[in-house]
Amino acid sequence: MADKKKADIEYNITKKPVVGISVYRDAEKKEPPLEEMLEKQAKRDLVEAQKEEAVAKMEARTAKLRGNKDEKDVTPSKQGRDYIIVDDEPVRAGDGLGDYSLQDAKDILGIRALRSRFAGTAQAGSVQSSATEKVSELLVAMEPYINKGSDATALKEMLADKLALQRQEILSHIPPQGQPAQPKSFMEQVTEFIAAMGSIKEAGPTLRSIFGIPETPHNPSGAPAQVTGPDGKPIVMDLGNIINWRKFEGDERRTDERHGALVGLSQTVRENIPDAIQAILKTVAEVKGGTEAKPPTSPQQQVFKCGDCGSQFSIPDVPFETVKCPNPQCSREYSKGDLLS
Amino acid sequence: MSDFMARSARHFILIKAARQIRQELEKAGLDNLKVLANAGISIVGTFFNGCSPQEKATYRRDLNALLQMGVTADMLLDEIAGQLPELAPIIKSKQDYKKTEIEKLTSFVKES
Repeated sequence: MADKKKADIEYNITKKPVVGISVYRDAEKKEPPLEEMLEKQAKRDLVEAQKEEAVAKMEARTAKLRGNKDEKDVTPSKQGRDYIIVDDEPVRAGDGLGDYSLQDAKDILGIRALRSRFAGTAQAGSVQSSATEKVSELLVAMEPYINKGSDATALKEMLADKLALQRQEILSHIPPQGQPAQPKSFMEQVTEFIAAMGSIKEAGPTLRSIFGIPETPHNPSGAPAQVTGPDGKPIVMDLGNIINWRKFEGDERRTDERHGALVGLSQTVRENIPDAIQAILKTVAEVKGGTEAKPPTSPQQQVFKCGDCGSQFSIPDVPFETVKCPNPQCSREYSKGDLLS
Repeated sequence: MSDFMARSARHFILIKAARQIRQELEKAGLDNLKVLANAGISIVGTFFNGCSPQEKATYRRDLNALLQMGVTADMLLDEIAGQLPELAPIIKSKQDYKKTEIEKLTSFVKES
């Protein structure tokens, strides 16, 4: 029973009866959060440090009033520390009578301003938590010095150094607000534009569905067809492309034939131009009454028909007085007067 | 104007026909033609006798077409003589020779 009680105390388990059934359940932790504990510890340490500091100041002033102005009584760490902080402002207290040098006082005030700023803007921000963690780390690091009751001046120096480091780290995380952004180079702008266009292209089907634009088919002409390529191998091509190709071939063939016909015609004309000119010249000479080019008038022989037998006969070229019918059975004679009348 | 163009066309065809006949006659050789003319042997008759029936039919058809277009045998012989200046004096010097050539050509066209 004693062991069980000890275990309950060790593991923080409470026994509470619920509706006649005894169950164990974990008790809720009542410890404050670690940050709160650290802050309280820091405040206590700070108060103790201030007390020790005040004691040291009183001793120093007492020694000063006693006329002991020997430099040996002034700790070396006090040299150059002429300022104290009053209402967030560095105030000069005298040679070696202050707590900080002027630079340290300014740094501490800057850190305080940063802390108040982050605490006001973001209660649960990462920066605040980070700053709190830093403060916790700082206190943990200074714990041996605090517990050992070391010199308050040395403690302050350590605190000042740590705060300075913390200040640098915090400032490195703060983006410059007043500084204008660096102008982007042309290549960076082009890269961003291409990236934006790529995202728009990816969103194309979605936009098409939103606006109700029908999908345009990639191959509007129809089914593919197999044809024989120029190298004799079969090629699968689109039917529309094949029709366009055949049309192109027909146009090309007709163009070639037309060109050949025109060339042949021009060659024929070129060959016959001299003959045509000669023919025209002869015609002109004939019209002018030239004897050489005048076509001979062929004598048209007049044909007569016999009234008795019906045989046909013509007048001889030689002078004649009578013409006899060539039919031997008829042998009728016609006089010149009868034929010419 | 149409008469002038018709006459020009007739002369053009005459020149082309005479040139074709001259080219066929020159295949026998110009010297041989001179010998035939001097001997009084008809060149046209000799040429047509050496042609095949198919060639005769072709020549006959072409000559009939020429006659229908008004190109006579006399005109054709005059044109051939003009395109063969070596034979022209021989043909002109012999009137009977020219008449014989015209008769041969006419009889060839009228042959059925």
